[in-house]
Amino acid sequence: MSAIVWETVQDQVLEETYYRATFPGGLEVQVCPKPGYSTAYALYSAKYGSLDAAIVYPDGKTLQLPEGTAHFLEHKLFESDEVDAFALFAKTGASANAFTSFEKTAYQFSCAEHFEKNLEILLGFVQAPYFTQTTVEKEQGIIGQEIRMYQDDPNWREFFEMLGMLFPVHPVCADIAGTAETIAEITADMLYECHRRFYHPANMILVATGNVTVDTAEEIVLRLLKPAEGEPARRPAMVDDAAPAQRSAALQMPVAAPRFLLGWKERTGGAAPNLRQSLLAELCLDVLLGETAPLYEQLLNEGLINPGFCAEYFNGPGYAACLLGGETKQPERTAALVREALQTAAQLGIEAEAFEQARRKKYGQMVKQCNDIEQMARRMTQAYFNGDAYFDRVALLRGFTVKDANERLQALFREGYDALVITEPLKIAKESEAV
Amino acid sequence: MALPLRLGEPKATAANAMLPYLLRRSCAAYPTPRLLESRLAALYGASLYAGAAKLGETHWLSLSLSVIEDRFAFAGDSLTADCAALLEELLFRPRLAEGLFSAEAVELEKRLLCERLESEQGEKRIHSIRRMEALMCGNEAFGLNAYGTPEAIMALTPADMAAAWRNLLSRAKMQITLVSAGDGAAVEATFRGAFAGITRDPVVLGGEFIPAASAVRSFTEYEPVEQAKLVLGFRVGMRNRDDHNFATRMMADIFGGGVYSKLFTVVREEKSLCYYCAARANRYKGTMVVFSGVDRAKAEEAREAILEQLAAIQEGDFSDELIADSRRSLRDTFFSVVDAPESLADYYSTGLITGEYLSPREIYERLEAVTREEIIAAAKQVTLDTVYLLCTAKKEGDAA
Repeated sequence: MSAIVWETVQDQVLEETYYRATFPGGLEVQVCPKPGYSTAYALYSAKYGSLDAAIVYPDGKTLQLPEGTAHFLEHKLFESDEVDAFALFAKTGASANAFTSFEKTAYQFSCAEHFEKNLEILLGFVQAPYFTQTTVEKEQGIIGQEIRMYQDDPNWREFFEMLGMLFPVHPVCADIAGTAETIAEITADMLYECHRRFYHPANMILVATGNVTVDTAEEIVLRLLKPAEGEPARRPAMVDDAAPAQRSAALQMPVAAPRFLLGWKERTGGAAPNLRQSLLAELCLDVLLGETAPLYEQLLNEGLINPGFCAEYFNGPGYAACLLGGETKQPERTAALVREALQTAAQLGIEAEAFEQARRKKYGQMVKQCNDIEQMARRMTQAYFNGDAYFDRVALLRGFTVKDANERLQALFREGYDALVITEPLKIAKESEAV
Repeated sequence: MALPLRLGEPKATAANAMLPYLLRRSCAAYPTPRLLESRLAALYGASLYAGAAKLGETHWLSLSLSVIEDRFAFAGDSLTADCAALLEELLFRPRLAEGLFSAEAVELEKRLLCERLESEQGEKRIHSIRRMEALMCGNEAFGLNAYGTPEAIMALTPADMAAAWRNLLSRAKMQITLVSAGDGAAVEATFRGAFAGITRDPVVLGGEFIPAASAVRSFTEYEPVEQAKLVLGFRVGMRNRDDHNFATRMMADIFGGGVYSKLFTVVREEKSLCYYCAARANRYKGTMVVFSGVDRAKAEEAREAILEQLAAIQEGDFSDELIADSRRSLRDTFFSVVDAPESLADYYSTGLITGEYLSPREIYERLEAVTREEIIAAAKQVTLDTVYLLCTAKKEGDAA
């Protein structure tokens, strides 16, 4: 049996400790035991999301994949006819799920009992693909329904409308689930090949948090981890730094109030923004658009926004943007006010006091996050895929000054790099009939 | 801090629903929303939630704060005590002029409450359940939205809100729940002092229970949606919130609780009739709702398949394995409550309605004790009341 060397990672301020190790084949395992917790949570993720539009082999050859393949594979692994993961977890009482994002596919369970058995199930089905052309075709119908459901969600529709304008040549602009047409091209062979390349141990991480021990995790992973086959797929640089050609779009949907979504693209040079850049961007957005911002107060008092208004720094490999929006009675006017205020702020900078407030708030969020074993595991996973570590956030935050924020601000709101989506309510002819 | 009242007329309901939000933004000590938000930021980003919901005919109003423990503060702040003091300020010392809330503050909240109501309409899963409830319980207080109606909200005045606030202080049942690693002495002292000068006459909370449906009513409403929503409302034979409550809960879980349930395994997986399909029993109202996302063309078939599964349970056609799956899942759910401070606080606050403060483990033990016969008996008391379908308007050439 190979000896696993565990590294202890600690943060004195948060009073938290976790352990990390590299397992055979390159699998990263991180375990954060939380004394006093009743539940355990495990998250097993592959660095394979909707962005990975092709398999790139070590010799440079590529295999193009239809949009929605990563999400399709997630469905098929979780719910294959041979080994239905839901049915297996029902025998332990755990609640389990899976999700696919732009950058990753993740499988999770949380449980109050039988952690060992649950981890065996999780590692078992994610590593055991089984597809036939028949099961693939059945799934095409189920996912077709899921895609239709998303079409009714105004947030989803606006979001992808925006990505289409900001990143027209970056795979982030494609719907994670694909379309009915693209998923119809998926075959069983294609899914097997994606599984071999993207679910390679060196492309994955397992995180366990809560009522867990390092010894248990080590024993189970060593016993069940399958040997690596060949090389993992590589993710090529994805550059899309041009100013958006189209900068406004309009949607009509059965919503009650008009809505707007405003986005500013940032040039990344094909890389993902680092932790320092993304934390500073989040702090800048909180200072400029959060509930303590003069602009927020003005918009609220003028009747232009409601508490659903929010801003986020959306970023990943080769894409980054500040996105903000919500319901508003006057989309054009609200967007114009926000644009003007942000461009002014980018020139004048933000004040030290406001920055300090945002920094303190962020620190509070980081402390609170340690109560939540699911959120911790997600952060640990994301940090690993980004090439940093969970506690780096706290250490970086401690060192920030308002000068750092003001330097960062310059790159965020570039002239000519913004776009606007407005959703107008479709007139709902409220017909109804009683039988 | 839970402050429940009874659901009543639309106007009173709208006024009461607005109160937690109005109090949140109209504190004498922090007279503008921005000043309050700055205070929260200084408390390391303490999160302040105002809420209005309904649990049966109980109008569940709440104000709550979550903050990091004192030992994580930079400079020895007493954050828990400061937050208790802030909640006390919000509830007892709003900014009033001549006894009234400011007209601007009330107008702002009127707009926001109406928009909250409107935005529900954009979320078709929730919207379709609300519409079914409104149609099924049109003659019961429960039929009203927890936020009231747009007309009732828009008619509210600063005088109405001042009266609603005074009524809240004297008539709401109240419970303060603290989940903390520290001791609660400072929090208790703060609120003991605040309540000392108030004459209290709390309402009696209860619900209107209609044990059986008299006839099935069906409604179809048309909106341009990609995925149709089918919602079924049932009466479950409960005469009060304790009447075969645990058996009904087990029955609903086997019917449509988790991924092992009849609705999931048969209607969704085996027959591929729904994208999602689940059942939830409402102990506070004696009802059960089944909600699903369907292809419009398959809605009728889905309705039949859902009712077939209920009939199967009534006839005892379900395996012991399914009961075991359900128990395991509920066991896990209840045993998990204790790990999140917010869920623990929510869990114990509903004791205000039920009068019982059983631990999650004790609740689970009562569910576990429910027998197969009791599940069948509970299912036999279920009657279909209302069928609601939300779909795109008929076009020519559509199949019937």
